[in-house]
Amino acid sequence: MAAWTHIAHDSLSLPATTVTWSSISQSYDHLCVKVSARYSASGSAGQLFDLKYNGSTTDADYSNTYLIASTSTPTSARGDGRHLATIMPTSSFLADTFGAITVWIPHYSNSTNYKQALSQSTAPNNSTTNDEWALRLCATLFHENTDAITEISMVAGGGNNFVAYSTFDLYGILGA
Amino acid sequence: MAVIEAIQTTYLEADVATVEFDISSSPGNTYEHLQLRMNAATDSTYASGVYRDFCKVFFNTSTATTNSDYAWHAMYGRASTASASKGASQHYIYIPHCAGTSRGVAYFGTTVVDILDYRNGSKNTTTSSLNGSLGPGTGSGELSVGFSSGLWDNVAAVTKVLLVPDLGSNWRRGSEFTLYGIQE
Repeated sequence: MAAWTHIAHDSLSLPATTVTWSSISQSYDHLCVKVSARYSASGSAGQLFDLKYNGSTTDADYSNTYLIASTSTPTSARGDGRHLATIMPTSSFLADTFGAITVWIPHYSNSTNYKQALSQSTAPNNSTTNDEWALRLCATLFHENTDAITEISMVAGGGNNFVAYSTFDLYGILGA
Repeated sequence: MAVIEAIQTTYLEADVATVEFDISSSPGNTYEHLQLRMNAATDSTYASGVYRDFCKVFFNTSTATTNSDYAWHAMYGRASTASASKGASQHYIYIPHCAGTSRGVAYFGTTVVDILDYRNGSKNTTTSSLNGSLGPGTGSGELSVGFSSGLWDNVAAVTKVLLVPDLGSNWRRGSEFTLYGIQE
């Protein structure tokens, strides 16, 4: 049996604020999200975007720890809120340049544990100036409840959009 | 068809100067994303490089070019310090600290490179790489873990991936490179 199954694909033909996958099958062991995205508005050091689960929009339901670099000195910190998971280039970055983002959500269908995810995201740019590029590794915790994840929404944040040509793919991964 | 498939594996029986993947035809040009997995070392004897070498990545060419249309950014941790480095208007994407050297024959570096939406004619090609390279000691020249991004300022579909060692002249025998395709 194949270990990977492609569950969903969204490719934006027009800018959009949110991409949501609902009624996610509970048949897999893990989920993997791959995103190639760019933000429609300006901003330095990239734009963070939300990953929210099961429709929960309450920042207090989420926490995270991250390692980030946008200067020569990487820093780490922790925070609360769904909006800190991943990063992407903004319209201030080189034209036609999209971030490469991968999020792993292990054991998403169990109903005993809080769900943790691991994301790696990039805001590439043809610049070496501080805060005109960014790299981010982030571990996130969703602790509202231990429900299985049935819905994932990606929200561009800041009141603006993912640009056209941004793509979003959801994969289900089977164990043995 | 499986969602993730190995397009090509190159296992080196002898030292070679470059490794190239040609994905200009099926099945290489039929996927949504690419993922490159490397376990590699070079013949570098560069003293400051010690147990680590870098990989230079070129797209859509079989020979190294000097087009200055690449950029890269990297953060990495070594023995006790974390730092970041970057380059703009470069000749290639740099993946730091991803390969072993000739200093220790049995030490190879490991890297996973994602190249997302590589056939989209409206996007520059971008990469993300997670890498590690360790020697036998504990000094900062012997080990590293890193995360980096790459940018090719060109919206052409990727048809070739060329990998060239930085400090060394050759990839060493025993290095292995596999390019996977991931379906949409």
